[in-house]
Amino acid sequence: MSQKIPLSEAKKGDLVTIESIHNESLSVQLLCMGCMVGEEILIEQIAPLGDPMMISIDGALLSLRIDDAKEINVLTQKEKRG
Amino acid sequence: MDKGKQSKEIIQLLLVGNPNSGKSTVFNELTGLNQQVGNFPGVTVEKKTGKITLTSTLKAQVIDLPGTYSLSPRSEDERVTFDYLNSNKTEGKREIIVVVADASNLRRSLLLCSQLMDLEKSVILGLNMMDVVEQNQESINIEKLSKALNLPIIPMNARIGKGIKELKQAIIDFKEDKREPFISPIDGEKDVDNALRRNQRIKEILKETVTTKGDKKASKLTRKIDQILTHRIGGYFIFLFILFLIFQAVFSWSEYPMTMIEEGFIYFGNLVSETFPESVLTDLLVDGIIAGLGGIIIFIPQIAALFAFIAILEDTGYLSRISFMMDGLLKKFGLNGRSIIPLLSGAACAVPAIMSARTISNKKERLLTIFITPLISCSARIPVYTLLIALVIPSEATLGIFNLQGVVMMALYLLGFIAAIATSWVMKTFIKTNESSHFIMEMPIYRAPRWKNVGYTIVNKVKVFLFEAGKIIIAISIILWVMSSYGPGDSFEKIDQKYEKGLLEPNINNETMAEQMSSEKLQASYAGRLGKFIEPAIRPLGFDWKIGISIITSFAAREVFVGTMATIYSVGDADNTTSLKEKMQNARDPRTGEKVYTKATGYSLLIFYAFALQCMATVAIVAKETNSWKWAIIQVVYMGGLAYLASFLTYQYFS
Repeated sequence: MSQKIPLSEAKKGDLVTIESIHNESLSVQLLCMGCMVGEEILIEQIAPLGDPMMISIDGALLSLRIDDAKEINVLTQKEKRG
Repeated sequence: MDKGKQSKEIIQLLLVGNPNSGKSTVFNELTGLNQQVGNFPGVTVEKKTGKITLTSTLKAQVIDLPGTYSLSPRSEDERVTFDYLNSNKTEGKREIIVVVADASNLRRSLLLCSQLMDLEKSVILGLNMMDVVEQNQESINIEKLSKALNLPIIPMNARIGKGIKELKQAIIDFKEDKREPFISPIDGEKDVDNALRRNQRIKEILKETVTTKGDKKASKLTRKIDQILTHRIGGYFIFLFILFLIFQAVFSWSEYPMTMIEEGFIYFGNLVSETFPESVLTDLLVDGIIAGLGGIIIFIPQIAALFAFIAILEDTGYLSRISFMMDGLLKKFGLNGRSIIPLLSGAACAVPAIMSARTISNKKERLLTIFITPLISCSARIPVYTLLIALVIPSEATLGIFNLQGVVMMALYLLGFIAAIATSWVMKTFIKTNESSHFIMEMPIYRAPRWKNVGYTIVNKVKVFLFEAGKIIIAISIILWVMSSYGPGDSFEKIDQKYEKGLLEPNINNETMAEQMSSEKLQASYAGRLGKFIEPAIRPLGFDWKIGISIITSFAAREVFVGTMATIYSVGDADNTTSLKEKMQNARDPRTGEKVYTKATGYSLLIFYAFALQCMATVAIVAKETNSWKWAIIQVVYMGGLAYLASFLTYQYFS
């Protein structure tokens, strides 16, 4: 079952799809870095203090602060990476 | 080539690209050592320019614009690129833009490229890092892509110099072509929608031109290395070890060349003063200019050592991981994950440390880092700490099971660190920024460092320090020299006359006389008078005018304190701290007959040197790095105020 959650709540190893981005300036910035709605994101790492998180998208690794991740809604696809 | 045409053309070549696209490597390969580093006017963003000769009639001025993801700027770096591309600074020259793209991440690079195309710029696309594309088992149909974009495209691997020749040829052959807009313009369209339409179009084009075997994932090797290097426990141990290496390099490995430089300058100074007749000019040359130059060049080993490490960390991709691992913690204090490097290096020397804050792209976080770095106790404070601790704390004193001298030394370092962090925490609410607060950072794949790039980084950093900060340091050195070598009226002549008679008498030790004479001269100088003048102000801290003079002269550098004290107490040899210590221990206040260096005064003075910004090189480099005197002055005043207040409280508490 796919579920809608903020990206900040995704766990390491989760594979999710971007559903919507609330903040417009964040949205522009992400678009410029190749992240758009419908794109798949893999959560690679979460820093020990829970912030920031490292994600991979279209072959690129990005580091994202949790405050920004809260603004991104994602659909969960799989429980864990195989 | 048309040999009949004598006119020589210079074109303007702009390098534009995403961060981590290998743009700097392309720049280095194009220009070689024929490059200058400066600042873009009005901002603190580094500007690298160079000249290249393409043909006998065609030259190009190459400008390396800061890396950016788009033409909607979000940081100071990106704004520079944005402004540069939007204003026509061509001075009548033909302008060609080379977009350096990471071929393994084409989508992002093409977005920027498409925006430039729609600004009706002349664009050549350099597809860099083609080796990574191969590794990823991808293939790009260059011809098809070139046709789809209507652009000349050069496949490159700049790390090994591949494609540079072809790029130059493409620049020579470049012909203006009428181009359809990449996406049809819509009036009043939002940035979001515009970027979205571009992304969709790019996706369509890439579907036709790029074929991938297997699923597209970030480099396997990089992800494997990340499992180790950013491991929640192991990662920090590795990081600590690397920090330790950097610290060692800046702190102790640099010591040998620094001693050589220092001794070289002393030798040279002596040589000059022996060769030339005794005169004001010789004095200025030896004590003002040569000593000042020595005080600048002494920093080179530390700068070179630190930037060798930083260049390697940046080149390999590890610097971004440091940022990733430390950001959660440092963010709380308004700092950046990368601030850890300047803060740690600051324990060796604030000057290279402040220069290294350049790796922080967020302006506010960078400014805060620069502002607090000098509060970290640097190696120049050690001689001052050592002398004062030995002076007021008996070596056998203990605190519990610990030696008290060691505890105090440790406490001073800790104090500096706490003050730095606390300052940042308070200041973060006062500094306003118009930069976007989003912090999305690309983590480049791991790669071996390019030694050429490391070399260029070191040369450029040393050059910037010598020629930019050096000017300011020399100027302050000369001012301080004048202040301590001249006095008002005929005060100096009187001292000369007094000792001239004395020196003729037999039975008196000439060396002692000479020491006393220089002590009296220092006291009669402008610096000496100023020291006496400020005595009422520093009384509440437990300082007398002798300390006042030392505080003024040691604005040049903290360790000068020891030398000045030695001169005032006429010890002669500044290295002879044992006898200086004894003289200071026996010093008594002429009014009360009590000892000058009580525990209260000693502690107060220690605290003062822990906090006060007594270092002209730091002031100079802050002025240079923030591109204004404003922050340098605020910093001097803030740290001076903090030192005064803390010393006052310390003195009142212990006395």
